[in-house]
Amino acid sequence: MPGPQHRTAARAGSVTRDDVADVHVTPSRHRAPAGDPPAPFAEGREAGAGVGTEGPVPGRVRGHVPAGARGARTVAAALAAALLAGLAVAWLTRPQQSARPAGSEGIRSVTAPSSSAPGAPAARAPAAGASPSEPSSTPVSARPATVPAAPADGRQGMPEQLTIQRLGIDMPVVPQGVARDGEMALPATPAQVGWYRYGPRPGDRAGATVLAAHLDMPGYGIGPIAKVEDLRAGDVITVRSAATTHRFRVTGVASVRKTSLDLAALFARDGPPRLHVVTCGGEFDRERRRYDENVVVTAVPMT
Amino acid sequence: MKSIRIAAAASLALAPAALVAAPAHAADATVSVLHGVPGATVDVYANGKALLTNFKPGTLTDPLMLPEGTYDLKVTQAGAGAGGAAVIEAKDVQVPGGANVTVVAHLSEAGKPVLTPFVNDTSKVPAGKARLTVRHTAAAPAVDVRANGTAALKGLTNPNEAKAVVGAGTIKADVVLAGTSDVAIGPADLDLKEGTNTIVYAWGSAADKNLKLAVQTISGMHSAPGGVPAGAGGQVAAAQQSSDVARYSAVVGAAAAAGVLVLVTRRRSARAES
Repeated sequence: MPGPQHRTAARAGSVTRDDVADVHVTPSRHRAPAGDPPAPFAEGREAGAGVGTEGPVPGRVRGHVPAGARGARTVAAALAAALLAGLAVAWLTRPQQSARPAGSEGIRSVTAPSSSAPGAPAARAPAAGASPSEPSSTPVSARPATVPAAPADGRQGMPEQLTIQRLGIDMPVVPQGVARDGEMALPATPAQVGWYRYGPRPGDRAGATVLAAHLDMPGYGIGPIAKVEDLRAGDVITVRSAATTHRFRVTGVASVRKTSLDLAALFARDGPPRLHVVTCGGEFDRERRRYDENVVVTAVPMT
Repeated sequence: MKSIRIAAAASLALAPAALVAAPAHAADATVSVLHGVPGATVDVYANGKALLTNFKPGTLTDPLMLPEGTYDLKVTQAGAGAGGAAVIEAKDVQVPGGANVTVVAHLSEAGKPVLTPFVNDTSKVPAGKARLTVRHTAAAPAVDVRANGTAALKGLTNPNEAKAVVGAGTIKADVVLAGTSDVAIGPADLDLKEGTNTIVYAWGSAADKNLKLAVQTISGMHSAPGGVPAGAGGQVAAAQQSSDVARYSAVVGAAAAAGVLVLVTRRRSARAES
């Protein structure tokens, strides 16, 4: 990418135009051995030369410069060259901003619509009955209030395997609840993914299925989930349960500071059905053994 | 058989402020009705209008949205009509807006039919927890409620309730006479679902040996966990850090090389000039 490189170097050079101009009217530039300097340096210097030719200081007389001034100019030239080379390398090695598709802002937003309506009466039974809004005219239905039998389908629909083919992720899923400190419990090994068992299952009609795994762990190293940061919108995530395979399409990947993460939206039990794959990211606090960010992948069911 | 009891106002006055001030449907209350008087199929009238007909013992209505206000409630034998003789009657029952209320027709400790409105606690519970509420609405003396064999709620009397926030999951519950291990009801497996208020009623009559449990479940009180601590090794951060170090080294190295190169060439040229 020579084009942008030169532009950037030139822009950087123009910041220190006065110094650079001084440098470039000196004879040494013209006598510098051509061809052997390291590439970044050469690029920076050439770009600097471009700036120098624009500089309106051609009047310096060669050979009549006092020794002290010449020494100062030499230092200035060296510093300028160092600055240019440094900037060039910094630009070349700049961290890649992975394209973050939109659509995962809800996790950050405190006013996510998905986390609404906590006060809505939830005890309404699905049984057919008269509309509750007109109780005085129509009698309502009643059901036996006997102790409900324990659900026989306790494991029905539980997610068991998480697969992201493009990234080579294939991890077993285990049900998890809440740890003693009130945070979501996670499998101790980064080789497994935890499913928040109090929330929706894949295939449920509403709410967010939450799958989370450790990014890394002492004695284990970096877990496979670390790769989810590379997911892009449109990638496919597969979650398998005993009977069914659910496919989800990624709509967004977000890195969110833990202090501003909207947990109610992350763990929402209402709103459209979706999948949240969560791990950690950002800076690591060695003393507390915590990362300061969560990486949240949002995906929606494929129809 | 006419017994009038207005425990209503007293009970409802105890409603927590948070419930009364609930924003959704501020003017409406959510009201369920439980029939806990053994043997009698009844009709229920609110302000002279039929609210429930053919209401059988041991059944619970779906929640009704009622405008806040005061209600005259009357329970009659099924089919007796609005003007029929009252089996139970309660006047000026206050229903505050936003509250979630269960009105229970049940026997007093002495065995007389009464109406008691209970305010249901719909405040949030922490993630992973469930609320258990137990109400004594039976013609029976004080009882203890045991969970998995241990007395969890002690000395409960008619028509009172006790509640606790417990870990979600299935418990084996039974009801014993207070301070004894004489089982009056149960045991029964109760599935306390996370984020719900499971309300258990002891109803019937000890004398008639028809004590039973009724269960009402209200959901939607769940909270999100406090976070997702999904990394404890720091290896990813360390790998990131070392790649950062490599980057800075490259930057500094290139800068130094460039500076040195210029210095050397200039010094050489200066030597050549002099």
